[in-house]
Amino acid sequence: MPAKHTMVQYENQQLVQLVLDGDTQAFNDLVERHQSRAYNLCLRMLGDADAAADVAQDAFISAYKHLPSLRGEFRPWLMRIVANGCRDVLRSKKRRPSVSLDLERDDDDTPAMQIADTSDGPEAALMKSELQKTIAGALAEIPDDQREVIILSDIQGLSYQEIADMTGINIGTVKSRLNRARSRLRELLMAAELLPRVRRHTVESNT
Amino acid sequence: MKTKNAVTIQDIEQLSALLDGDLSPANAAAMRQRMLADEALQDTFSELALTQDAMRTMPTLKPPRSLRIDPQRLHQARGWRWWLISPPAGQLFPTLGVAMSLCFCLLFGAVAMQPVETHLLKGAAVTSPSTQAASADSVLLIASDTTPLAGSPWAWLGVVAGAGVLGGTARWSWQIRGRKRTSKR
Repeated sequence: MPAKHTMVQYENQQLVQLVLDGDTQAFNDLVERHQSRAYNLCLRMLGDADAAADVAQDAFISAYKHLPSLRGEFRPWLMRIVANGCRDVLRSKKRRPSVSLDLERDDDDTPAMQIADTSDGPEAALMKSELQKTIAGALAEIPDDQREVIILSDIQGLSYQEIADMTGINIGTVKSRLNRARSRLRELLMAAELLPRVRRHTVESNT
Repeated sequence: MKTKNAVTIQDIEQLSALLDGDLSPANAAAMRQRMLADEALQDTFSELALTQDAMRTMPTLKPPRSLRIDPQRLHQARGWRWWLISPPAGQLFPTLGVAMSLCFCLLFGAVAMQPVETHLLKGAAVTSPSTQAASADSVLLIASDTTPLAGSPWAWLGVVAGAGVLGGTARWSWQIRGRKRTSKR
């Protein structure tokens, strides 16, 4: 069995070349390197852990199939395939996630939620955890196109330009979708009476 | 004294842009001035900031299973693009492509450069004895039918297409070589 390529040793492009030279192990190293980001994008888009894993894996297979036609960087190209896969699933199923993913997780290997830094104090940590759960649920209430943009921007940390490249829409549309998504999310969190509490807590802890 | 006006969708757009650092310095300063005087704007901004902060600190979850793919499945997923780059086609294709493009250029170039009259004579020479016996007018008519490509736009089009294929193949080969050089560095 071929040796596993360490993360430090190889850059993405080097691994891609190894794959093109016939090393399938190198492709699985790329999978390991990017699976978390791909899975989390699918998860937030679809709201279903199993479906997210399936779509992410299908996206990797599709990436392998089209790897010889790759031009440019691997990661944005892969994430574009992943986002397209999610869009296809949403389009075909025409359904919205109805249950917050974080509530239905039951695997013991990973923590149910990364609780806030303990230096925040137990109350702040609890509030943050509650806020994150509510956000996971609220994301399901946002239209697909807006959800995609806000996930890419505020969770995945991509720039407007990267989002535009990935989704194939112009920057103006990215901005307007992001505004609408943030506005809607704010309304949902306000309705859950979470934001006033968090804000009050922030003000109190700052004074 | 602070006021509390209704926040419009345009205000939210501006606040969102301010949050992302996407406002020009002048517009950002103007918005900050407005926020100092308007409590509702200030509240909305802090709510948007808190929402964004909560989004940014959303946990990164591990996939329920490893997404690694069985090598056998990967081999099955290979499409025609893989055939083009895999041995033996992958090794032969660039060389064959260049050679074929050159032949294409030479062939069509030769036909294109040839004067029309030569073709006409050749056309007359290959005609049957009965045709030779015919009048000069009919010989020329038959000859012109047998040399459709000589000096025609189609031949030049062939030269241009051949040059295009040649250029494309050379660029493609160069890209592959370049990518290999980059990955080995």
